[in-house]
Amino acid sequence: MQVLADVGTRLIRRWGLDGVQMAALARVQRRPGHGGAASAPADVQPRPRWLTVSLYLEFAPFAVLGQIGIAGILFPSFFLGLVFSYTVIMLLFGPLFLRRCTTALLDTSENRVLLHLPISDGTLLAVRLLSIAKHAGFLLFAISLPTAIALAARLGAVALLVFGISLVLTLLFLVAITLAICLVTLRHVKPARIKDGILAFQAVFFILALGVAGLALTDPSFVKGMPEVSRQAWWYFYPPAWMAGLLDYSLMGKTRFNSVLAATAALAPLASFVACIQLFAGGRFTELLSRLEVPRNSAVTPKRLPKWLTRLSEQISALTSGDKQERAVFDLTAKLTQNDWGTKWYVYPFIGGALFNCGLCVVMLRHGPMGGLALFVYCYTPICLAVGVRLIQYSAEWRAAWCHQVLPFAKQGVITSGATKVYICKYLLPIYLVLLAAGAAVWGAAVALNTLFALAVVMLVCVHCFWGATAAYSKDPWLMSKGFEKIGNFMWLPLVVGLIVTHIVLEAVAGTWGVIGGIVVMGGAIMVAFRRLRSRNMPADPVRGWSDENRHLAACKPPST
Amino acid sequence: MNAVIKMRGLSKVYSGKQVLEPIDLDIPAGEVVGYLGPNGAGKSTTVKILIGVTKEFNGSAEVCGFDVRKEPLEVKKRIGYVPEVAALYDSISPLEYLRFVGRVHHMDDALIESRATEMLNLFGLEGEHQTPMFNYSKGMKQKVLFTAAVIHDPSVLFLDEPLSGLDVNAVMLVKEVIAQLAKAGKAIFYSSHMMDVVQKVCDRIIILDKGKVLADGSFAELQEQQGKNKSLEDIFSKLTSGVDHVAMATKFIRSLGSDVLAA
Repeated sequence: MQVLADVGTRLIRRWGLDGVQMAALARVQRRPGHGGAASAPADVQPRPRWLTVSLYLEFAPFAVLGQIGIAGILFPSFFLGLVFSYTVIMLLFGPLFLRRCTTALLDTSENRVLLHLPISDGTLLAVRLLSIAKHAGFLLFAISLPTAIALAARLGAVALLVFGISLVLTLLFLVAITLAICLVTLRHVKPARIKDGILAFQAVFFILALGVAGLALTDPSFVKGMPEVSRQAWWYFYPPAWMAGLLDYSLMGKTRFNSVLAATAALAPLASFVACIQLFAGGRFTELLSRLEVPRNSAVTPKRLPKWLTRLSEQISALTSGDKQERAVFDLTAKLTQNDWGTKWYVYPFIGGALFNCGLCVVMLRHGPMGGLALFVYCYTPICLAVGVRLIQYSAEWRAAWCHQVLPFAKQGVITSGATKVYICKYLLPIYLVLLAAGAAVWGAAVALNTLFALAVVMLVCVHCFWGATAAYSKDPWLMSKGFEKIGNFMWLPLVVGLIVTHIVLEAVAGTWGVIGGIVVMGGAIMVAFRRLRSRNMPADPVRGWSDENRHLAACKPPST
Repeated sequence: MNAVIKMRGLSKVYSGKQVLEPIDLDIPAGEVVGYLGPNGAGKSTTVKILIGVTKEFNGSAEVCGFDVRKEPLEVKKRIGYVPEVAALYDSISPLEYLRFVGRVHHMDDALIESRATEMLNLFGLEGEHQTPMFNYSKGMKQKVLFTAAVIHDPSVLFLDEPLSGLDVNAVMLVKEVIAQLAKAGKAIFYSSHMMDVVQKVCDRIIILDKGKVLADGSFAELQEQQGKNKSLEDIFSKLTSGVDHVAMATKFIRSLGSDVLAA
């Protein structure tokens, strides 16, 4: 204990942590209306009790998958059951946390207030990390609760304790990854391209994670030949396997295999976390923050689309838009998505992941029939893209959205429907075109029809997810994660589960004709949903989107008097 | 007199605080009205009510005969607005932005294109139409904002510090445009802190403080009420602050310590 305390004290001194400054910064960030990295204005703070219930309910269908692993229903091996559970937990939690952590760390809105003050990098970094610790802990707890209950019921309190420790280690590992990505980008990427660089690194990381998990979970030998698989050396490089090894080591007896995994689980996250903080605390964090604020004249000019793509976009806009106003929104949103790194950050990894899985399925299953779990992995990997449509309301250019309130839009819903159509045409349709073509070419019409059904599901979820939005590109991107936590924002999960179950039942009971009927019904539902979305009139939002430098005060004062 | 902007008992209470005292005003077509007041006087609140953005207020307000509370859409079709803080989508070009605004006003693409090109050229932005506004200065953005406010030929213009950041030539152009638009029968509601411009451009000046109208009349009428040789700046200062600024500045410096002035 004494040794740990000594190490802690030495690290605090080395990183230059200042308790008084940390308390002062934390106090400012807790104030309602503070718009910095750690918090959101008072009007977007969710009600915690409802949020808790909502999160548990909405994550339940996915979290139960983890429980299946622990309960050993699918997996006779305890170790591989755990690997499955940790994979589910990390795939659910990892992207959400990486996104939140990056946005909080890279928030430059406090630069003008903080960077000239005598605050060390360590203190600033620690305050930002602590500000997201509560959020991360809560989210991780919500995702892993069913697994924790199943473990406690089967193996008792010790299992629960080790599971808790493994979750903390998971968190440290993810923080270390975020910091490492920032660090590499800072050292090797031009200042004007830092955000793009971070985006690219995170996309690559996520595609790899999704691909490796997809490889593990869709490989039939994973379930059937378990004891063989568990001796493979590549498990040493798979983080969910480290954590599974830690539990296996603590609860099921010591082997050489689980000892190495447990040691990796304990040391790798801690060592990488300490190393990253150590590297960042020496002046690099404020350097990163100041580099993110690139002077206008040295900034990179926003990318322009090639002429043929601009013409194509205008033709699609004319074809899909109901009237001139919707067309105006479509064209504007199409141009804004071109340069919005927040949207790209979310969309590109999922597009990459979906293409990766598509390629995997083609390579592994091209000689046999396509069906069962593999078919649904193939069709529904892009489902997370549907949720990303909500990103269109958040933009670095949110201050310019005052025009949405001043211009004579017949209904505010025109803005949301136009923006949703851009998202569908730009991101969902191309990826599904690839899946459809590959499905039809390799396995025939039945797979193509199932893919079409999945596209209809994704489009419907897309409309649902953008239902409560105020306008396109009207909110501060740094509030994105907070916005995602609002009650009702996760209601897409039950909708997705319900529609996928319907798909499975239709396919199993009525075959191809059932799927065709389903596609027709879904097509009608999408048209009705769009019509209703267009006719919505959303309440004016006097704070967000209004060009007011003192927006944080707007929660307490009349808007800009 | 046929009023284009009509306010009757227009007031606003926010969290129990009266931010705008009841105002009765009629502004006819062809009049340029300067709306002056110190920070927090209620200028922007009045403008936001009149352009149909803020709906929670007491009393009534009409623009072009339409109730701003009940028919904000009809009001928005007939007005142009230049906000105080210039915020535009940096990643698109001025032409793309003006096309967006024009289409929302149901204008033909050809008309948008011709008007936008001509107006931007007159502002000295020729050759910049297709360039993203990423590198635009505040003044260049202000020119785009002004163009966006007038491109659909509105009946009423609400201008909140429209000259902010503009170069001298652009200031002269905008001032002349305002005068000629007024001659063409447009009503112009001009909110500003720049006293000399208001004095020259506006037919009528309204001075507001703490939500209350303190003075309303032409510059000559205000001079008659407040003192013949006084500038608008003097009249404004007398009405809204009434303090000796030299004494205040001395007090301000003294708060740093008595030795500062001695040194």
